[in-house]
Formats: sequence, structure tokens, C-alpha cells
Amino acid sequence: MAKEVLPMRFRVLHYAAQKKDSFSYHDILKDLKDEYGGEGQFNKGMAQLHLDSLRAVGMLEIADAELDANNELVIKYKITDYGMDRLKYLPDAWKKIS
Amino acid sequence: MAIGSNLNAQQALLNHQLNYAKKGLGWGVFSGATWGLSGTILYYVALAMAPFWNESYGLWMIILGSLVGAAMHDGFAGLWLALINLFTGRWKEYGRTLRTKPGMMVCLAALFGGPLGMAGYLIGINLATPTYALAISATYPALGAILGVFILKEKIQPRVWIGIIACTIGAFIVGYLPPEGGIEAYPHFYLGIALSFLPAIGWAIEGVISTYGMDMVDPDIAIGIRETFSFVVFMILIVTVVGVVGGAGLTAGWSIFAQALAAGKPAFWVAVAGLAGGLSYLAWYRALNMTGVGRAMAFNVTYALWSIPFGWMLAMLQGTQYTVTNLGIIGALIITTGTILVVANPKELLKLRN
Repeated sequence: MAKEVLPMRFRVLHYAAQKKDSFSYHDILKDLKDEYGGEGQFNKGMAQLHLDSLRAVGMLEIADAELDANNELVIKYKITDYGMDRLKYLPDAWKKIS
Repeated sequence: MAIGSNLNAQQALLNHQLNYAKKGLGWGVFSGATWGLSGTILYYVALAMAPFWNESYGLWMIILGSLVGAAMHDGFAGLWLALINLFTGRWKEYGRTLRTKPGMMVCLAALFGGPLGMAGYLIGINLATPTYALAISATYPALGAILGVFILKEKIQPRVWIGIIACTIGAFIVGYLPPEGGIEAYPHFYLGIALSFLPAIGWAIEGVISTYGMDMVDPDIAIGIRETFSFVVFMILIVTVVGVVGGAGLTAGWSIFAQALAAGKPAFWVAVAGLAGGLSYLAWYRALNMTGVGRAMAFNVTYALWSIPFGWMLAMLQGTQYTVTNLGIIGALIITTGTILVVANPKELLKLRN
């Protein structure tokens, strides 16, 4: 049975738990396109907002920050222990992190 | 690490985080102002009209009218928020969020914030006027802090105790004297004051439950669910039960609801108040996420003060007299100061999460 689609913020946290390396909104827009690509909320602003919010409440932390070729700030994140603990709120089908 | 080796990137990161924190503070202040506006519109414009209020109404009908007003306020707020979420491409998030545990916690929080909090709040506003009811309800962060000791096992610092005591004294000062015109003009003033503690209790519990479950829920979706769920429980349960208990009948509340919609103008003004109230809650939930619970609540409760200029302005526009005693203003100021002491350390205002 196919997994149900998660609320996007939940999915960003799940994505963070799966990632071995740090990641930015670029990675989210690339890797989650199949799941959310058809929705109006799937854009840079919303992806960055979810990252900022999860960081502010302590589920993500900043791993790195650099300016890209266009002199635009790209922040890279990784999950915290608190974020890992909150995975318990995911539906059962999503709890297992590969 | 690239942050250390690139000063420009480090500065840009600092600016990014500061901007985020400042936006959170901005949303907090906005939530206070719009809540003050929503409450005063409800009292001075919407709930002053038939069918919410009528010269012939006894106490139970005033209460029923207030409850229908509260239900409609939350219903319209839910509708406005649904439109915002539709516009930003997030309408599918409602169903997805409701299927999660934190989504269900939002519904549980809605029961305390809506049918308990909003009910007491609007009856309080109607019986004791907005400045008094809002000032008393603004003690909710102090109660939240006390609940936090028992439920979240938090420790209370001396600064916070001083704030809690200030809130209590302020609430007593506010409720000590009725507005000008006295008890004859506001015969149920003290009942209104007593009921104004219900929102303080309801919103404190809502805050504690939200804190527990909300960190990973998109605040715009959470508040959309909360307002809509509150409306449904109000209309199906609260309004119906109070109609029966008060002797007005099973459908009395629904009849007020239908009349308000049919008349147009009263429903329009509740819709305007619902827009201000919905935006206020949206801002509050966003601020909770962006600056932390304490600071968000501190800015939110300034609504007790905002109610004074907005009340004065709306009373003027309606051609009625705005009544608040000096004691009322002093009490509202003490409560606001006490609350800020309870929930925020000014030195930490720009630091996210303590």
C-alpha cells in the first residue's frame, strides 16, 4: 500500500532524518518534487520557512552557510536529537527511517 | 566549516536569523492589536445589534446571543483562514494534518480555546464591557505559567512570581468598580467579570496543549483547523445545550444564527471581527513558532491595552459613549506589565528559545 502524503513540514523533518549529509531548500525542492510538485505551497519561500521554523523550535540545526554564485545565502541544516525524538509523531508507515 | 571561513556568509546568516526573529516579534504585536480590534468590533458594533442583542432579552438570551456571536466569529475566522490557505496552495494540508497526532492535539486545544475560552470571553465582553473582560482574560499567560509547573514540570523564577502577583492585583483592580454608569447600566457586571476568567483558563490550557503538539504543525493550517473545529462544536453542542438549559428551546441559538445571516448587517460585522480575530490567531500561532511561547504570549496580551483606543474610536463612530474608569486603565496596565514579566525576559527578546 502506498504511503499517505504527509503534511509538508512533517515530510521535511522526515527528509532531514533520512539525509546522511546536511541539506538546504534546494535539496528539498529537488527531492520532494514528485510528492508535492503539483501544489502551490511547493516553492522556495515555503521550503525555507519550514526549515527556519523547525530550526527555531530546535528540531533542526544549522550545519553550514555559504553564498552561492548569485551571492545568495544558502543555509544547510541537519536534524537534532530532539527532531529525531519527534519522529514518533509520524504515522506508523513513515516511522521507519531508511 | 564554511561559516567560519566566510565572513560575508556568516553576516548574511546572522541577518537571516535576526530577520526571522524580528518577524516573529512583529507577528506577536500584530496579534495583540488585531485581537483588541476584534473584541471591540464585536461589542460596539456586531453584538449591539439584533438578533444578538435586544432590549427585551433576559440574562439567558444575552448569553445565548453572545454564544452565537462567538460561534460565528470562529466560523468566519475559519472561513477566512481557509481562503488564505487555499490561496497559498495548502488546502490539502488540512486533511493530512488531521490524520496526525499533533493535528488531533490542535482539535483538543480548540475545545479549550473555543467553546470554553471564546464563550466566556464574549459573554464577559457583553456583560462587563471589553476593556474589563479583555484585561481579565489577559491573565492567561500567568495561569499558563502555573499550569506549566504542574503539567510540564517547569520551575517558576522570582521574576515570574512577581508577574503573576501583579496580574492578580491588576485583575482585582480592573474588576473592583464597574464602568461609569455603575451597576444600573451594567446589571450583570460582576457575573461578566467572573466569566472573563474562563478565557484565561481556556487559553492557558490551549497554550500548554499547543506547545506540546504544535512544534511540527504548520501554524497557518493549525489555526485554520482550530477555528473551524471550534465553530462546529459551538453550533452543534454549546449553543443547542445552552438554548435548552436556558429555557429558550433547542433551536433558539440556530434561530439567532439564521436571523443574523438573513439580516446581513450583523453577520457582516461579525465577519469583519472574524477577519481581525482570525488574523490575530494566525499571527499568534506564527509568533509561537517564530519567537517562542513566552514572548508570543507577552505581545499577544497587549490586546487589553489596544482595546482602549479601539473601543474609544468605535464608540465614537457608533455615536455611543466609551466608558472606562481610571482604575480600569491602571488595572489593564498592571496586568500587561505583569504578564510581560511572567513570560519574557526583556534581555532575551532577540534570542530564539531560552
